[in-house]
Amino acid sequence: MADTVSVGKTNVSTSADSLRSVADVDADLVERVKAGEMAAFDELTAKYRDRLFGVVYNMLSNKEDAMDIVQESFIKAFTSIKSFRGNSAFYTWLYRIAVNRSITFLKRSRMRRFFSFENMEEELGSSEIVDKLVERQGNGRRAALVSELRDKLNEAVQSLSVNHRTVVVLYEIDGMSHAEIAEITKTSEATVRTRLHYAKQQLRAILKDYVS
Amino acid sequence: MKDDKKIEIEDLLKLKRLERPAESEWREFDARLKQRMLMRVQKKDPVWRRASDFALSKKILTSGALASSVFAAVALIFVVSGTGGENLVSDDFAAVRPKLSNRAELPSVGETFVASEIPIPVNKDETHMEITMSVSEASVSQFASSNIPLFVHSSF
Repeated sequence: MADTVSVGKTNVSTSADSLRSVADVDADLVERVKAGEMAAFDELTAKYRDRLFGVVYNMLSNKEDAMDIVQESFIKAFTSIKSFRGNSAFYTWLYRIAVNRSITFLKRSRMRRFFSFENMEEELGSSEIVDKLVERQGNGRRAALVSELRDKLNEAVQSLSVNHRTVVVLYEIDGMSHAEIAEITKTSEATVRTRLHYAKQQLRAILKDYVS
Repeated sequence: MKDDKKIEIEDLLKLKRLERPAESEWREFDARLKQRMLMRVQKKDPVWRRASDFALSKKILTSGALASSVFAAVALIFVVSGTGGENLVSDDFAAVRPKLSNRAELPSVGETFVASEIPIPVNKDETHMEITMSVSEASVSQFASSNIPLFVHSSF
């Protein structure tokens, strides 16, 4: 699973060599940031903001809140950069900040509302999965199906507990490995696998109309 | 054929990768992030702190040296002008009129002040200090640790 991860708009192979090179590049950028070079931090921001947003948005299911949390995470990383010792990869550290902030935000906000993307319907509309679903339904109501699917997906993911949602988002949506998720969430790989298994069972039950 | 049409839960979840902001939203994000970072950096390092850090780091002035310099400068102004150094001291300590005690013979260093022993209810075992100091050497900080009240008046 997770043969590639996207870094910005580029898919990067997650083979051991590639991961080392990504970590090395990030380490160089971090050193430059520590030396006071703002442009290096701009590079890190541009590199990870898209992925980080994806994770936070799918945990919160609210675009505005997600934007806010992602910004706060980058600010936190910037102001704490001197304390980053390089024991883990920079992106692991950054993800941990973002995930923790998201979890704190979720615990504090009781009233939440979904706030998704209008453009997602356009993207969904051209998806092969939607093609299959439309074919299975047989009624040709593509637009209605897309809208329904988007809402149902959000609802399903949000119905998971914070811990289960985190592993599902990081693994299935962001494409991280079990080991990386374990490092981010400060748990073991076994815990990650267990949570993932249970979360998928729950999701299958909610989305049974869409799953074969 | 059947497998081609099979949809897994993982396939549905991958659809959520399509939810991404437009480029215009990222531009707004970048601008806002920069603004917030600048505000955070400024908040963390106020001007007064930077100024004091600079002064202390350069060892330009310690607080004691600063206090003594100010005190000496003020005292010198009054002595030179001759318009009330004595009154200032005597007014301040009007409630207490200590007796002049015998001063030790010291080299003349301009004007001198004599600190007299004031009878206060203390244990007899305590040692009282009689201190003679010159105007130019007056320093409040030197007596900061003393438990004995120091009353200073001029003698010309």
